[in-house]
Amino acid sequence: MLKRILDNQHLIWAFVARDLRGRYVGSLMGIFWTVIHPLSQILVFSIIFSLINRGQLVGLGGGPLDYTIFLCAGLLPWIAFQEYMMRVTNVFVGNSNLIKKINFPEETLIIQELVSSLITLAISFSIFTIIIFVFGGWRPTAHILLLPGIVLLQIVFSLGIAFAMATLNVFLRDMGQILAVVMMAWFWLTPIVYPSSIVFHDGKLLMPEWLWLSYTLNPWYYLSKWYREVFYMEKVPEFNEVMVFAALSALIVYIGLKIYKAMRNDIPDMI
Amino acid sequence: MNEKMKPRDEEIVGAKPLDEDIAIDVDNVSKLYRLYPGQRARIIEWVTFGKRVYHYPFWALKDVSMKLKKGQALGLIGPNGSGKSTLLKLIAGTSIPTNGEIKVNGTVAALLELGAGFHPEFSGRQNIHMNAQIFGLSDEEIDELMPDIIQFAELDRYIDMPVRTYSSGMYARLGFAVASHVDPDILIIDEALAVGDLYFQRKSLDRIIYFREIGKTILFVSHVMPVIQRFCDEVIWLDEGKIRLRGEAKKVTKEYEMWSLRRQEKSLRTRIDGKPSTMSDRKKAEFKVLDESWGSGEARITKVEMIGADGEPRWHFEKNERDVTIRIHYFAFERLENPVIGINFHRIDGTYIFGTGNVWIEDYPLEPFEGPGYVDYTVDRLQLHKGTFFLTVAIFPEPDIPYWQNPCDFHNQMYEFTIVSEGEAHGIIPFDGRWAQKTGSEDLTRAGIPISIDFGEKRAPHYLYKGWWDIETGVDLSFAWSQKTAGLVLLQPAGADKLFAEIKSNKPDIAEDPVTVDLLSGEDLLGSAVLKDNEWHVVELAVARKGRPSAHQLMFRVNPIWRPCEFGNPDDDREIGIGVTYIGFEPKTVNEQD
Repeated sequence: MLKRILDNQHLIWAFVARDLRGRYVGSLMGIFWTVIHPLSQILVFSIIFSLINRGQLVGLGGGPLDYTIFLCAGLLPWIAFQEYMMRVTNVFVGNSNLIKKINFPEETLIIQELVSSLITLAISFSIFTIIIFVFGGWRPTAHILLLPGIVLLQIVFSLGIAFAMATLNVFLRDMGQILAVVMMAWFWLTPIVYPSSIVFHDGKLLMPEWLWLSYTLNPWYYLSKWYREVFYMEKVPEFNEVMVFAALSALIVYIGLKIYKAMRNDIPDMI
Repeated sequence: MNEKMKPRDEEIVGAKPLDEDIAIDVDNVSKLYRLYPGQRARIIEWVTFGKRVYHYPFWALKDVSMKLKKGQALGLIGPNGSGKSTLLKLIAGTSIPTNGEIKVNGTVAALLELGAGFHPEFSGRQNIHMNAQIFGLSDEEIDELMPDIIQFAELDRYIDMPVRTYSSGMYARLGFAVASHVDPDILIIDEALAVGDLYFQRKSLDRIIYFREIGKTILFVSHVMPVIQRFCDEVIWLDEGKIRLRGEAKKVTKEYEMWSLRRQEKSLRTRIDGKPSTMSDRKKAEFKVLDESWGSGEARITKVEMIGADGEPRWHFEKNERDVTIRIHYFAFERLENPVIGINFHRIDGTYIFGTGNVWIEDYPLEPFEGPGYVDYTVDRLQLHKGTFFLTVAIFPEPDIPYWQNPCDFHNQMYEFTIVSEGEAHGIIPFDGRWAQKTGSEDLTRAGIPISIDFGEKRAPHYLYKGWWDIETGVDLSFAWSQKTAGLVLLQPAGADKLFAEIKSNKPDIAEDPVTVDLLSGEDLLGSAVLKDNEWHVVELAVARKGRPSAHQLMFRVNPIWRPCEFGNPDDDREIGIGVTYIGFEPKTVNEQD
């Protein structure tokens, strides 16, 4: 399958180019929408959380952009992940015309959506770093070099789910609806807009215990943590955790591909 | 790699080795579709690991085997749902057989089920590129092909617009253009030619002919039998997922047409005879819509038959079949003193062909209706082309109302019949006509044919044909001919009995061996002029007097020992030039006299 994907990489690029162009060229503000969408979320969260007693947001510095930096490091990758999930779930069904009528290598569609989402992530990350560099006094450290590694972990993790979701949605069209609910809950159960310190701080459990326990099982708890660590906490992610995550992602990819391969022959008949 | 992936990957990489001259080998292939009553049923089957079965297994194809040689054109026919499209999908590789194996030798381009695989947001150009890429062409090859494809599809300025903005015709054109230009070994076309205008259909068919000629393999699904007969060497008739008949195109299509006709008739009979209705139903509502029938119900049409001259009721007839009777059985629940029956014929496309009634249109008062009975209307000759037609029959209670109001029973286009005939149908009605031809013409005055030609005045080339030198009109000569004969057309006015011609030769001294110039009308020799010198001579030839003006095809002829030449002095003794300055059925006008 990897060969099929590599054979068709020009196809992937054509789709990515069209996708990005389609998303931004026709619209008035073009590429800025890539930024405005997360920016507006960041703005809303910043305002709301600035209204909350800062004392509760322990663990954050007092700088004017500290919360924003904290938020962006976790939120931008999450938005990329969320968008990818929402779009990829529908990718087979939405391109039924291609898959049914020509011998279209449908797995490339999953890669294409991934590439699109990564490009969006790269753009929003770049703008974000410029803003915090100029206004937030943020200076990159050597830790930032670990960023590609974290992104890679996210890619592998997302890819496995993507194959499973895109395939299952062919047979159970409710997947998109289910996913929307799951993503919403997942987002709020993950310390992305709020620091994990509001749950557990200084050895004190401030929230129900199950919430804290759920963090240990939540891949995005680790991902957002690592993004923050390499961005501004100047910490190297804990090796053991990364290894466990990588192994888990590999397992998810295996399962995702297994589902896809088991059902791929029926896909053209079902869409 | 997983086992299940195999078939698809193979088709992309290339087929297993096959017999050299076999293009497609379908070996015992079946295709199962599981039809679930709903999504919940599918989930229950999943979670119980198939212990509970809710789906209905539908075998779209069952144990189908066939081989197709390279360069053959195969047609697939069969009713809807017979598995034609499924088979094409399997061969094209967009769907995977449940059992069996399909081997394909060569590259396949497919146009499946009305239109190609396009991305709606891509422009026409981008879609061409994408399709060609998937087909396996390199960027350079695509760039080379692009202008041809765009030109063939005739999309011009639309080519850079997203295909979602295309009309279905444009879509089909682009699809066909791509599939037929990527140079596949095997071209698969599923009904794709049904869309698009006639001009493009024609063009596509030409392209398919070209494909056949260069020895490509073609697989073709169509419901249009003449097209199938024309383009396919062989036809496979599929029915309920199985091959019912395979053989020579004409034979199989004919069998199939007969079969579908019988099937149609059968379903029609059950529909008509099995129609439930009771009297109380009829009386309940003043106007009751039942299927396509409605009416106030004093009398009902109980049965309608079409009966051939042989007395057999049937629903298919020959074109121009004689003495076809439409028998309308009725049952009158109330006495109708002055009933009226109306009959209409519609063509399947809704064209109103013919209508009649025993009053209003014709004058045949019917006996009162009471209880059962029937009325016959016999068509002397069923002057219809082949096709499908609908019969409308109605009973009206009295003639003194507008004919569309208050029927007792109105069966609107409820009866379907078919006209079969050989050959193509042109237009709506086969007129009775005879062809005749008569050669020659009686009156050509109005065609502007002259009664005389004066070459000295101006050239009249319309009425000169064959054999004249194309030389300028000279002072003392006018025209010369270049071959053994030279022809012209003149009109002989009524009553004229003389033909005048002023001619000369270019030989100064041939008194001892004069040249004879014959003037013929068709095969008849009108007369001859004997030329002994190179002076102008007016010859007068007697012609038969005609009562009406008639056109003559006149011919000058010299003895074939002479070789004609230009009018100047001949180099050769055997060459001769003859000049004509005037010819006509009246003498040349006077001005030459001075």
